[in-house]
Amino acid sequence: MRSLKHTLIGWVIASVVVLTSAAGAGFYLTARAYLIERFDDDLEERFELLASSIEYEMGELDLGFDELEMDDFGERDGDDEADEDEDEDEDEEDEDEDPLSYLVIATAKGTAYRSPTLGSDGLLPSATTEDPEWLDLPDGRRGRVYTQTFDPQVDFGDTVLEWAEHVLALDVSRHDAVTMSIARDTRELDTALATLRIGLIVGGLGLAAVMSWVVAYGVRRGMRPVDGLARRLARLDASSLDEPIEPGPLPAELRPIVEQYNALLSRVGQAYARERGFSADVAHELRTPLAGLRTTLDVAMAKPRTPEQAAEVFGELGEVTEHMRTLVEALLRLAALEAGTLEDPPGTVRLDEEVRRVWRLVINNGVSHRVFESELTLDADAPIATRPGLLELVLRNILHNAAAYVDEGGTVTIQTTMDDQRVRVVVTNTGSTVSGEDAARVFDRFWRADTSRAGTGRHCGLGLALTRSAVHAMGGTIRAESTAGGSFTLAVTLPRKSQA
Amino acid sequence: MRVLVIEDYEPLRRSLARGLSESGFAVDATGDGKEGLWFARDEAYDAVVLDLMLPGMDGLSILRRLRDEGKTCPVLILTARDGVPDRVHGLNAGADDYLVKPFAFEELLARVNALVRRKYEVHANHVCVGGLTIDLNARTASRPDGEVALTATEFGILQLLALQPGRVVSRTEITEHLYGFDGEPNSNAIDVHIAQLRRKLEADGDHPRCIHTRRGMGYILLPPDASESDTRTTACDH
Repeated sequence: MRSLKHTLIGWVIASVVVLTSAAGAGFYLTARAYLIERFDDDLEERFELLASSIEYEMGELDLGFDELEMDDFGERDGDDEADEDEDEDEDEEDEDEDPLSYLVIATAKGTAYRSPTLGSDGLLPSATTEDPEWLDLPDGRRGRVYTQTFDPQVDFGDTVLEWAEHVLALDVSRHDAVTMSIARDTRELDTALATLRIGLIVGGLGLAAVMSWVVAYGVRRGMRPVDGLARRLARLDASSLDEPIEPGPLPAELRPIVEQYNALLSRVGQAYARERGFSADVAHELRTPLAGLRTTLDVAMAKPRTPEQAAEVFGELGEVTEHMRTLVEALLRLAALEAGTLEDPPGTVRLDEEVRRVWRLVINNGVSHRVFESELTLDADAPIATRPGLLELVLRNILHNAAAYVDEGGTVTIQTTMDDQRVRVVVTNTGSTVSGEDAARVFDRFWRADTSRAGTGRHCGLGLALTRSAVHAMGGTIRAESTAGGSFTLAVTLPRKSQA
Repeated sequence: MRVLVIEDYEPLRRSLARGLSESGFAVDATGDGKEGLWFARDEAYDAVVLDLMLPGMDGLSILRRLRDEGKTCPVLILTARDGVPDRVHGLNAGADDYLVKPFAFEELLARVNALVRRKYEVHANHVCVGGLTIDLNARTASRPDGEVALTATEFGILQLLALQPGRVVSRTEITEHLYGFDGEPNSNAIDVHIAQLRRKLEADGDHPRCIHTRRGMGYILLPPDASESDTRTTACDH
């Protein structure tokens, strides 16, 4: 499983390492360039100093740097031979020695000076260089060399006589140019750079380690609300549907999640409450006839009864069980409809004929003992592809409803119309007691306009809920309307071609 | 004793009315909430059996209205809703008892009897006046020498007097508590029943009189040797 925490920590630590390395490398290169430049400046300065001490005197090249401090050129009492003897022994000590400098001065006539540090036959490159360059010194050390060719000064003496003597004696133009190479080993520089490198690597590693720890700690700390939220969610169950998570103390990133979650929770809670309410309603609807059954039996059995009394009790019991049967069947049908498992093969019917047939059935069943008029205007005379079983259920319920609730001397109006796409059945009855606001509630399960009819066994309060589910199952719509004059209308619109 | 049943499911209402009247209650029954409130408000019922889901007006509203108007008649709520909140709701609205459907009729009867006893502040299941013991549950009256056979109406009158010992009970009161709307008796029916009752209880003079007439006021049940001021019943001899 991908962990947000680990991804964050990984990326941040990788960035820290890359940035630290880049910064270290940059710093190292800058420092190196600066140190080499300083080294070169020293070398060039030394060159200038030496060059200024070389002059031609009376045609002879006078090096004249005897009085300068030149220890590092190997200008000391010890002989070359002695040096060579000890070379092998001193190899290790060489490492700790002071840095050495090397010098070669040459003219067209040959080498004028070679510093003892060059050993017996070591030479320095004689090509002039613009700036000091790297080279491998004859004794195996690494260093930088600076070579320039220049015309030394000519010492004409302090007096006119000396000058004249000089000019007469020699042809000034014959003074050759001098090529001087000066080199110095870079041991000090290398050591400094090596120390810097180690310092930077150790420092960089240390910094990376510290940063990693800080980042890991910071990320863990920053992600703590996520863990807290997960723990809170884990504690939730069905009973906490009405306890939303307080988004107040949560970070901004988690807030939309929690808000979405709370919205979902509230929707689920509502659905849950609705279902719980429905179960309670079912329980209520079944318990009441059950109570009737039991009380009737209890009372009947309390005393010896005459056959007439017994027959009356049996009649009552039959009435109650019939009511319960109707209720249970309606509930099962409603459940099947809503789950979409009601078996009903498609077929073709003519709506006008079907309405007429069902209306006759409803009238003959003696739904209402009242006298009322019925007006049928049936225009839908073409066959429609539908689910006949569902259609019959819908028609029976809406026609039954009209016949059951029409007032004495009132009118039931039944109208069917059709166009290319849809068929429509509109049933209106007068004498309705349903108020305008309650019209939409007639489809609620167990809602009754007049609960006093509940006991007749036919009004279980599920008829119109069933009707609506059936209409929806056929891809249609149903609408209820109640006007102030007491007329109640149910309008069903169905597609002409069966869906599914 | 008179009971009002407000229950909209007809088979249940019918059976309750029959069962209660066979148990000696005068029963009025209705399936409509508004009508129920009207009855309960006007009549001095000894108990009201009230369903909660009713057309016209729901049971809890009826109950609240009655309590708001200061009516104290004992109310037993009868409902299919058995959740704790439903019970709490009902009891808080002023109900005295709560019974969940379906129930045993015996239990309903026992609860109604208990409500009636409580209304008259009698906590034992029997009342003793002199040598007369009136068993409120078994609905019998007995002398030390044996049970006295009484009709339902006669026992009803005796019960009403026994529940309010030492109090004068008017004729109207007896009529109100003994008959539902269907069975209004003629004016001297009570006198006739009282005469019958006395005859049976006194066994034609073998026992002292305990039901006394207060002219122009009504009847009172008193121990034989009690003075006018002593209106308390004596303890039973066991």
